[in-house]
Amino acid sequence: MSFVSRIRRQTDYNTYPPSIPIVIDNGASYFRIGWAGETEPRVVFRNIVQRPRHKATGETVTVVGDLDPGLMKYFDCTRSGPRSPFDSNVVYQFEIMEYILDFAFDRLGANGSRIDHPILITECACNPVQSRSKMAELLFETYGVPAVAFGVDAAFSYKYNQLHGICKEDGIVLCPGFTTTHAIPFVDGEPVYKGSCRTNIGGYHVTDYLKQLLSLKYPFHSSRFTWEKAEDLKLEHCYIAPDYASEVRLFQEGTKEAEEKTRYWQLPWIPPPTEVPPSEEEIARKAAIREKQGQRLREMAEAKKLSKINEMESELSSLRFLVKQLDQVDEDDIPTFLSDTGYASRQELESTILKVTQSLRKARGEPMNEPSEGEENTDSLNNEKYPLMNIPDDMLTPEQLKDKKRQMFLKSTTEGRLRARQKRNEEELEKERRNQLEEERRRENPEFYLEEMRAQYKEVLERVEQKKRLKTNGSSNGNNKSGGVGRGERLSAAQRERMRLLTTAAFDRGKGEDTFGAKDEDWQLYKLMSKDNDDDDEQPDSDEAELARLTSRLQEIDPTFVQKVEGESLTSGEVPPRVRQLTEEDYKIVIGIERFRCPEILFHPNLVGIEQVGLDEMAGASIRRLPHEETELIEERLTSSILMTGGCSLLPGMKERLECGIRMIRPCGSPIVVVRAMDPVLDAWRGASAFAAKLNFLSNAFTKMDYEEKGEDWLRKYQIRYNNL
Amino acid sequence: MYVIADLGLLQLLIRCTGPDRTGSGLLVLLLYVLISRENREVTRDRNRRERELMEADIVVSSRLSFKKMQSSEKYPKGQSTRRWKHLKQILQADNCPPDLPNYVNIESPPSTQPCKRICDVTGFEAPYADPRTNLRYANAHVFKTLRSLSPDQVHQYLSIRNAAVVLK
Repeated sequence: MSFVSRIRRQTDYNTYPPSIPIVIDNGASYFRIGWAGETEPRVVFRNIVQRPRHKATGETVTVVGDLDPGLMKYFDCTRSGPRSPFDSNVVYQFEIMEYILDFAFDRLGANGSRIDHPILITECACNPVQSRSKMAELLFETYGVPAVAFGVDAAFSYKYNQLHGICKEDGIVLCPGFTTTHAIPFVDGEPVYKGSCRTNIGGYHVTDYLKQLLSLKYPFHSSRFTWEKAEDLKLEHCYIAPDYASEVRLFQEGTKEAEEKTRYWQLPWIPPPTEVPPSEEEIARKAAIREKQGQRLREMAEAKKLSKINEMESELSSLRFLVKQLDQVDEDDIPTFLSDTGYASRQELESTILKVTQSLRKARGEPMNEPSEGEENTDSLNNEKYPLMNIPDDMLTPEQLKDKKRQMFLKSTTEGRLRARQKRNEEELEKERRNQLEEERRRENPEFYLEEMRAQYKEVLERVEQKKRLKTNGSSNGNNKSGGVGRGERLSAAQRERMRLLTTAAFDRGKGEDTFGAKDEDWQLYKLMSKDNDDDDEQPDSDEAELARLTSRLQEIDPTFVQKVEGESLTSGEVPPRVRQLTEEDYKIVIGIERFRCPEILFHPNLVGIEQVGLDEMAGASIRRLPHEETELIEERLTSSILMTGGCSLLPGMKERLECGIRMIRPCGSPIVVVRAMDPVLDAWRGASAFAAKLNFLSNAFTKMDYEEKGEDWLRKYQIRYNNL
Repeated sequence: MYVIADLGLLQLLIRCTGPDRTGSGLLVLLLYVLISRENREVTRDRNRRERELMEADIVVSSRLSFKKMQSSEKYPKGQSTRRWKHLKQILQADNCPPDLPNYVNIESPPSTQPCKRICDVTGFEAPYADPRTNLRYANAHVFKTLRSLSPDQVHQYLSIRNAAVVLK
């Protein structure tokens, strides 16, 4: 919606004889060109140029005006941005001006070897002579124009409206434009530039202010607020409050009127799909599946256990058989008999049988046949296995010494194992006891306990997340304008340390030569670095373990507990990050106060740091500056015909505000009449067109000869006389 | 890429239909037909896009009849536009008599009314300012938000008001 462009090529160029002037309204926002005497400019486009490269051919082409983004995909726009020939409201880049004029004349249908019509072009008030002369040079030299005239757009607008009776011969025109605002008084139908005044604020600043405010308020969506979008919002929603203070108070108190005045912009948002707690059937189905899986696992375990039991039973039976056989065999034949089976003596056999029976019993789930038996066993085993233990050293041979050492070692290891097992048992008992305590507490006071658990969970979750965030450079979130923030802030502590090590290593060498690596010690650097990294990884584990324990506990006891997904926790960079899911609310942009805060800068430029008067006071300043003799009368005449023109005057509420404002600075009772131009945007062009259509237009224009002969001073003093309009 | 694929497929086809492998040969034939059709479509697409671009006619042609000297000759490629003087330089170089109105003369004076103080964050009336960051705020609630802003945000709020301290 924002940009209005009419750029179809006109076909009737040749029907116009060379005496008909071409009228150009060269504004900072739009460029309008057409024929004199008509009411509508033929070609209208935005006054910007882009020079992208064509993707296929690689050549640089020029595209003028606002562009259809669909077509822009053929061009590589990375190295070109839109450029304007204006710097504030003065043309300074004539190369771009030339492209624009090319395009404009081309669309007007020009063909032939030169532009053979006189041209009336608008400029800003009191245009510096250098800009004027360069423009004249451009038109004369490059386009071969016979005659050129310069006029001020606000003046044309005033004269046009005067023609239509909207304002009188004496008056003031207030023109808030794109980059600047002018107030020019008219006396006897001619603009008096001595009394004019210009503030460097305009529609561009309003849009920029809106864009910045929204980006700061919603940093998460800051990429959505492009300049064009802000312009759209401004055109649609901004208005001027009759009194800023009282309007703001409405909003501050949150009254109903404030609610009505607030506009909401809903950005597209797709809710994450799986947050809905599953329905009954879902739960039942999942439970059934889990049951089945559990069942299957249990069956498998059972089967394995059974097979193991069978195996052990068979082993046991074979051993018993062996023992029985042993009984039958004589004492001396035992070793030979046993050598086949792999057992060295009868005792070994018996101990093996014992072990197997024990494990069988355990597998069958019967209570262990008492540790006391086990202990006795171990004792006796000890005595058997370590027969050498108790014999002091000097009575043994070296071989026996070795044996003794081995036995000592074995004994200590088994004892160690026993001790470890005992400790584990104790810990288990401890945990059991703790769980019992917790259970009791829960049974006493379930609500409170639950709350406590939940709070603990949140805390631990936050801690874990923060650590994670620190580790993974969490300073994004839309703060892309952190040009001042160096890399040091974005890196975590460990990465900073690495950087430091690397840079000191690199620069501690001899000057000019990179001898890192020549010595072996240099490579120890990497060990240091990786150690640093490891350290960082260790710490969160305890927290994470805690988190896991809490999660499982909560899942058991709390029916409504849903594990928070860790990813989408950050919604707004201003508030300290809380863990909550993104909702539709976060995607709603609220435009309440900004609606009238942004255009307020037209009346109070010091809100954006520009130390100049606003629109209402400009009228007063302009009147004060006028050189005149009979002060009273002329002031009254001026204030009774104040015209508002220019794109920004389309903002609703401006007229009332201006009246109030000017009433404040004028003596009580003086007449104040503020009118808006018939069409603030196009009236400048229309006024210029009407002016150019007059028969004595050429007397106001200057030709190339004039330009060459008379020099700069003359050009400086050159002004057209508006009065014959 | 498609052309190469075509040729490759063609070779494969020839080789396949040599010995007794009619089945796979047919398959390869089918593939070949499909790919070549796709190829044609791609080029057709590209042609259509080029035509669309030309019809849209948004590009300024580089040769215009009514110009005495074309832009490409006037501004040869490679020369940048740095040679244009900015407004400030233009105004400095402009030595105009001070009694006549000129660009600098007609500039507006500073305001005589007291400066309106509004809160930087919300836009309400702001009688207070934060001593640390120099931002204006309306009440304690806003102050809390102020203190939790990151340094770049503070900098941005201040630069909207032209009050930011820029360290050069």
